[in-house]
Amino acid sequence: MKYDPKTTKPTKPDFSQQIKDNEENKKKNLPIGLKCKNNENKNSLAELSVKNPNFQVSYKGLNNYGNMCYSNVIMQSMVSIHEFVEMLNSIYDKVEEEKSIFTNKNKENTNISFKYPTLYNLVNTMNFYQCNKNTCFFILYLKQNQFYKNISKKYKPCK
Amino acid sequence: MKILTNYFDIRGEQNDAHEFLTFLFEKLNNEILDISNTLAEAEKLSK
Repeated sequence: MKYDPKTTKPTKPDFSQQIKDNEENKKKNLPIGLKCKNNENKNSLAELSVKNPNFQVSYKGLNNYGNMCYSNVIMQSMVSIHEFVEMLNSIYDKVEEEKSIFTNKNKENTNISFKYPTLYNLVNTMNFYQCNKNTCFFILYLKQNQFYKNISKKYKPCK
Repeated sequence: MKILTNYFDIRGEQNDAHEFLTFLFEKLNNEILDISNTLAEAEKLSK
């Protein structure tokens, strides 16, 4: 699925199949996620995936948008923590549901992307992650911050 | 967060990763605090 900021709508990551597979694998004593048992540690991930069709290696192969590999690794780790993603999604949904509460008395811009940019960008990045395998959403957000400017100064631009 | 920073200690890229994580969690923490305070205030007012 190609990412287009204008037409692509965020979809929530669906872990239900992965959880089901993991439960079935547990019963069958097969590897769960990236955890392997005994001799299976010696096999490559590719071999494991051929041996066991239910073996899943999620969220890999991110694009590097210029010296952002460390942030990609962090994003990758965070997206793998289901509870963390679920928690952020529930907070995001709560804000969306209770929009009226967050409406400012002065009727300033109370859009979630404006008021809570980190939460908005993080949730959307995680939700887009499955289909486009990159973190461009988040990089665009980071570029607006001093943090990215400071980091960028340290390195030469990527070719 | 500790697990992630430990990972980067091994990788030798701890400074950037640490800066990134600190930046990210500081911002996220402030936003979530603001959300919970706003919701708590609204609940108080509704009672």
